[in-house]
Amino acid sequence: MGQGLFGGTIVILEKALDLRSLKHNLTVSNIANVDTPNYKAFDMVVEEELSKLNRSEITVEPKRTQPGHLSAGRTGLKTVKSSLSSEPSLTKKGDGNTVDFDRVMASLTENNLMYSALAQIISKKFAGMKDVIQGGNR
Amino acid sequence: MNFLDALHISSSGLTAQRLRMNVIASNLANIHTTRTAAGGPYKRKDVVFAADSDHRNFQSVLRSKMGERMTGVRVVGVVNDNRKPQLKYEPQHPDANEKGYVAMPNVNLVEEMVNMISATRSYEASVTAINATKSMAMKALEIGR
Repeated sequence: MGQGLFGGTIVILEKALDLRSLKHNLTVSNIANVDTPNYKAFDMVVEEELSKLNRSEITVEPKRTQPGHLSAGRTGLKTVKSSLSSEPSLTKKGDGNTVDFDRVMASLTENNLMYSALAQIISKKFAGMKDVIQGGNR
Repeated sequence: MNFLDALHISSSGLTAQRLRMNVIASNLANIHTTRTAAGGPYKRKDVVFAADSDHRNFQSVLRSKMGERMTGVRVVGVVNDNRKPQLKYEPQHPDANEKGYVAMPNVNLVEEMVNMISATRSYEASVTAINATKSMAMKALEIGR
């Protein structure tokens, strides 16, 4: 039951939001270190990390010893991989720093928009459920 | 919490760039200073940045061990630029040597202006990042409203 109500889209959306906020932190860190010598920029592809997680990895569930037990699956914590981003080929700053300013700012905006979109989808999902619970617009 | 981390990282960037700006301002203000406490003309100063992982609490240590690479920036020091002073022929100057040359600070105006623009841009980038963080956090708070 619980699994049916909150288990489908919401679990995936939750995880996607998690990954987006992690990516936001990485991007912010790259921006703060834009003038740090020898700093190596890193990056994470959210879609890739998301596709690597299968259902059983996303949810953590207590073991059920009796058939009458209710399920209580929640999204689990899993470490995701961030990787060094490919070195920009044309920016020769000369100090060993590999932050590509334009790319980082673009990725910040993109991530921000995607996060907003995901938050909105979750919001709508809950609104839809609420609608059903209240018996629609009578 | 995730968003507070992002804010801390961005604010470390703001602090570092502001300090860099202060140093640039000091270089520009002292572009003609021939007397200092250490003796001789003013020496151009430069800031040194280092990536800084915040290891003040348990959570951040745990996360860095788990391979999450989020780092702020820290100013590790302000160093003197040891290039030679510029000699200028100005015989009437009180600090001129016997040949009439004055040792002027090794500050290059164009270099400082370029540094200033770079610091401004980096500061603006951090401000943009903070605004993005704020809007994301607000969106998350709106879920279920």
